Amino acid sequence: MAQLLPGTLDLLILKAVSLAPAHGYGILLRIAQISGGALAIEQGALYPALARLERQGLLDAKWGTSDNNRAARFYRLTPAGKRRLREETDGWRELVEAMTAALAATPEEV
Amino acid sequence: MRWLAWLTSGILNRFRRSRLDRETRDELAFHLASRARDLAAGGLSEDAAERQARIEMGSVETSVERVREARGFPYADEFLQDLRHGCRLLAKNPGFAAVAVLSLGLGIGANSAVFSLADALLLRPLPVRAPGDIVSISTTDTGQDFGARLSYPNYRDLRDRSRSFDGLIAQKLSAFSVAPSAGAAAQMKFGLVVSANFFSVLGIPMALGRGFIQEEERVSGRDAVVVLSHDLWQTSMGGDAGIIGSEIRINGVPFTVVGVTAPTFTGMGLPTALVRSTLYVPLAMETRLYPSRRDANDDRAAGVLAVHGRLKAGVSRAAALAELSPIWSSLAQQYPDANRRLTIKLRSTLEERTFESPPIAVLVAVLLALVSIVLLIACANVANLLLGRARARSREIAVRLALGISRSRLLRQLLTESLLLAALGCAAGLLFAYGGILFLQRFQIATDLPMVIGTRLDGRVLGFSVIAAALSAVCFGLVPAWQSLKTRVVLSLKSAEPGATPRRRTAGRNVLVIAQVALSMTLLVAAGVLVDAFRKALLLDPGFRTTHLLRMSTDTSLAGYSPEQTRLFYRRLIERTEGLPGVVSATLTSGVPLEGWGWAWPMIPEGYRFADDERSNIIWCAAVDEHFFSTMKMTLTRGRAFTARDRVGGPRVAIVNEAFAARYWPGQNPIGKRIRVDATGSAWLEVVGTTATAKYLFIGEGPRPFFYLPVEQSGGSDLTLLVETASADAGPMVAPVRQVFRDLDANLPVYDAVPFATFYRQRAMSLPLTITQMVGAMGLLGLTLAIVGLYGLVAYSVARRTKEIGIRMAIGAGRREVLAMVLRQGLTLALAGIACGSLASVGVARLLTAGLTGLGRPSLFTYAVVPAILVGLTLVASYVPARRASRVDPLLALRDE
Repeated sequence: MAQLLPGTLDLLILKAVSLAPAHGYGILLRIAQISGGALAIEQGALYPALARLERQGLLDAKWGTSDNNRAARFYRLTPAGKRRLREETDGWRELVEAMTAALAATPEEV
Repeated sequence: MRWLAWLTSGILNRFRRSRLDRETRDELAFHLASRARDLAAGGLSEDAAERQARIEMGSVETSVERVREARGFPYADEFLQDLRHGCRLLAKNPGFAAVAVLSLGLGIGANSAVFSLADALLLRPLPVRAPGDIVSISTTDTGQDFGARLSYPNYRDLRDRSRSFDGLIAQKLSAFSVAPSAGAAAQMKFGLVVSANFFSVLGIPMALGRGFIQEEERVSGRDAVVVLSHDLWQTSMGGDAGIIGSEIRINGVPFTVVGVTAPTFTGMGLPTALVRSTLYVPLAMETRLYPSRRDANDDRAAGVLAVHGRLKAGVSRAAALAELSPIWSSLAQQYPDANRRLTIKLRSTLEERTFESPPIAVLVAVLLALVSIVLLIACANVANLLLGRARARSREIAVRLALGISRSRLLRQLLTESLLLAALGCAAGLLFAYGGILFLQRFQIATDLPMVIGTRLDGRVLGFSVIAAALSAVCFGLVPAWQSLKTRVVLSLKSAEPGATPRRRTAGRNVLVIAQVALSMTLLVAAGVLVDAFRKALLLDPGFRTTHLLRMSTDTSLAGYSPEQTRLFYRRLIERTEGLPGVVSATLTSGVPLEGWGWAWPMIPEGYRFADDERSNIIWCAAVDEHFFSTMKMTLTRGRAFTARDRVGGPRVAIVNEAFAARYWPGQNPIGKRIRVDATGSAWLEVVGTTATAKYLFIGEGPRPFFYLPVEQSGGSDLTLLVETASADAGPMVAPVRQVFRDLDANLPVYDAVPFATFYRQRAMSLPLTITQMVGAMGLLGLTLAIVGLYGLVAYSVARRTKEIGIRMAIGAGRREVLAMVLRQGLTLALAGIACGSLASVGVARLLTAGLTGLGRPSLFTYAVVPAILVGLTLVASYVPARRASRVDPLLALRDE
């Protein structure tokens, strides 16, 4: 399992929620699923992060009913959250491209 | 606006915290249940699945807490928690809290009180719109740092040609004879003659009516309009709301009241910030107000106007000066007679005030420096107390560190505690400051000039106190911070004597106490030097009579007298006054000694070679009549006094003082030499006598060159009558002499009518006395704080060494040896402090006396007495713990372990 880079937890949460509204545990499962089980999230960090994103107006939370008919808190993206996800995704791509190019450099290119 | 939502949701969350916490718990419970179900579905037993889910989740409480933190404000809850903890600590240790808060309170209070004085004298911004944009524009005489003001024609040309300013205004302080109506008695009032744009450019708030309009400056003598100060409107006009449009008499001329300024505006504070203006009239009315004076508005050489400009947005002072300089050069070329010797200067308000009255600036700087030493001593005291508490604290800190608190979190906690102390100290300080300000407000100045020392507890003083408290918190807060960083957990927890070794532990405290003693020694020497200097001032012979004398002033130009009428009036005044029973003699002068102002002219003494860039020196002078030297009991050293023949048309003569003769004609006989004013066509004045050098402007001044002119040859109209009375107390004669004025001309206002002794006491004594009291109080404060610090340290070390002392006594040390040992500890500290302090105090004393050259060398008395006092008090402070040490019962002390 790969270690999460600092600062990427928020991005992953936004992405997971953007696919479909989900409760906390669902978000955890979904991140594991979409990353092919490669990215592990510390459970203790998930809920403070959700609260922080909610406070920043990026997520919206409502109580609803889960598949097994229990009350669960569901998170969905707000418009501001969608915007933020787009921006951060672009930023992440740029970073990855730059890093990839840098790491692929050969002595001849210098 | 997102931050606003963030802020409000943070605040709202604080109020629905318990519901939110419940929700978080529900959410986490759901998570656990879901996870356990999934794990059970994977084949685990239900119990195992639940346990596994809990392990993965970690502490639920920690999660709840972290979620709560994310919903609130970072650090806020933590801060409140630390604050509560700090309060509990203080409450548990009331002695520590009281001494610390009192020390800080006294230190901060003294600083705030002195700041309020500094603010009133020097620092407070002008009471106008955007005061920071106002600069003073003046000229400086080449080669001499004597500020010249601008003439009206020069002002007008600068105003019309410069582009850097949102207006240039001109003003001058003037005396007026004001009567509410034609029949009423006139009163002397001081106000400003101002350019018409004065109110609009400065943006002066009005209580009623309007300021002047530009049209009111255009035609000389046409628009008789006046703006009253709020104060004058309230006191002389009864605060009548219908005053606008009514008429008052100024110098006998009817003026229409067009406005009243708001109470916040008290004038432009020139020549010192203390002077308040009571009314405002347009410059163009000068000719009507003073028909006997030459029209200064047409005279380019008459530099009488204080000019200020409002810098345009984005224009710097340097840029404005760069723009003005070539304009001034062309004016100097165009009018060489008036402008050749002058260069233009731009000053900020603070620079202008410093320049106008350097002694005040020096005084403020000295007081601020001394009082900040008091605060330093207070901070050292608190730091010392904190170090003393270190023993108990380092245990607590070690426990917290062992429990996993981070060092930065710990630092924040300790900082919060320091801030709490500082806040309490600040609150106490404001109380003390209030007392100090009440004391300063008692201080009066004996003059009818509306001078007010506006010390007050306002927002600026409050802000200053808070800043002082915050700085103090940083100063003494370093101690616990340093302590927390060096705490070694295991060592502290294991050892009964936590932290560093005992010797190392007191080292820091020793340094602090030595510094305290050194600082308080410096303070005391400074106080001693000042007290010594002012004691001399009180005993000093100023060189003239101060009893059997009364003073009374008037200005005939306020009633429109011609020069001829003025001469006649004053001759009659002398005759009639001398005819009064109880009067020995009477004399006239243009300048009363020690009044602090007077005439000063650029003079050329015959035969004196000036330095290359100088043509003349500014020299103070006064016009006096033939009775002056005898009435004032001033010694004539050579030649003759003035006589009744030294009048208009007679040979022009002057009398110089010995300092003048020694400076300009050293080793020569000054009688028969000549002096003249540095101006084209000025007449030579022949020196006919010399007088002993006296005190002229202030009591502490050094020998100052000075000269006298015959009053009738000077043409002055603003004169003071000095009357020698038969009885030492001149008070009863004030009324009869005032009656003489009234009999001669009831419309002429009389001002500053007081026995000379009263004037002298307030002028020469009151300020030095107040300063002496202030500095003395600071010295005592510093001393008390330092001795408390010293006592605390010695007592602490005795308490800690009880066991050691017990052992010493068990193996045969007597009570006397123990007593001596403890006293020696205190004494060593004091002596080290005195050694350091004496170095610093020599420098400080030299700095202080530099401004008081006239009082002679300070005696060595202070240097002997201060260390003696310090040693004495040290012995007293150490004796209490020493006695306790010598009473230690060895058995008890050893069993105690």
